Amino acid sequence: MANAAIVRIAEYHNDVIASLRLYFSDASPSFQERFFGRTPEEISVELAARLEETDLRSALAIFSTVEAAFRVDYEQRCQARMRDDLSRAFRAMYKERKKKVGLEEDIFEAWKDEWPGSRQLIGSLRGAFKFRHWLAHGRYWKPRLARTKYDFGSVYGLAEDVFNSLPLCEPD
Amino acid sequence: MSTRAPRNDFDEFVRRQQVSSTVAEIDWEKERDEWLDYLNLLYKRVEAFLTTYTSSGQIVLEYRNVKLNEENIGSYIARKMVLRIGRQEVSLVPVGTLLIGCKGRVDIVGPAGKARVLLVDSDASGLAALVHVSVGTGGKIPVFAEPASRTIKWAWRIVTRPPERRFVEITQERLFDLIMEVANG
Repeated sequence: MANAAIVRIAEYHNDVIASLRLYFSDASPSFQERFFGRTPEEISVELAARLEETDLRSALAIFSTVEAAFRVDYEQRCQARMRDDLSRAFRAMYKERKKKVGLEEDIFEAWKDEWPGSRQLIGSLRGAFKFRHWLAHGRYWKPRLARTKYDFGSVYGLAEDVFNSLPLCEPD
Repeated sequence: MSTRAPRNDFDEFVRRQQVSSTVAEIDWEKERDEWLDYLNLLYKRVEAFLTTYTSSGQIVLEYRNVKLNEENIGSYIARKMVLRIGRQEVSLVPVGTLLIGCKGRVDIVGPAGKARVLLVDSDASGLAALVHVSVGTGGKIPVFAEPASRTIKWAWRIVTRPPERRFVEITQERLFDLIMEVANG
């Protein structure tokens, strides 16, 4: 079962897509005013740009949810004094740096090393987070990505795999 | 093989893709030719405004063919007017006739920007005069008033910047302002 937060993002995303398609159609009450003097092709190009931007923004929201889930899990494992290897590794980190740990170099690495079977998924996540950094930090450089295209669908699928495969601890 | 009824959405999608009888009745060649005639009228007007400068050689005016492609009409050739003013080049680029709310558009394009000239209903003073929004109250669906049937007289107009978006006649002074705006910023 998918995490409730990413399901809410997907539902919101679908509503925005449907709203944009309606707004850019002649069924919209403001169509004449908004697109006065424009060609059908110009309207299609603008709609495509809006849909693409929406896709990217929704993907970023999924990344934020994934990051929050890993950080919350880190704190829970540190506080709950669980006895598995991952929780022990987190507590060792917490002794030194408290909450000032890096998502990728510390938390992801600990999962990869200490949680059996997570290596491939964490590798995919690290690749996708390069795309997340490009998205979140102004998109001013050309990202070197593991795959040619990340979009909302692929990022959602990856997040779903994370929530379905890794036992991320939630707040009590 | 299943013969169940098609889904409503798909049914509606297929229906919308059919050429409606209204669309089929339109003489698209006539629409295109009318638009090209109006385009020539605009060019003649601009030529007249610039005579002093073109006759002295300070502005060189020439035409280049551009290929336009519009739904139902297909591809056709129209003329683009190019004004060379010293090192600057400003073009009047025809965009097409199948547009939202108007019969034609020419973009005035220069190194510093772009402005639009539209072929609109000569009786309309601005966008607000053409756009009617009906609002339903108390949960009732709005009633749309049918526009009165009349022959529209088309005229080239400059659309002022938002929020006014008024249609103003193309005078020599306004055309010069537009050219300077797109050339110099």
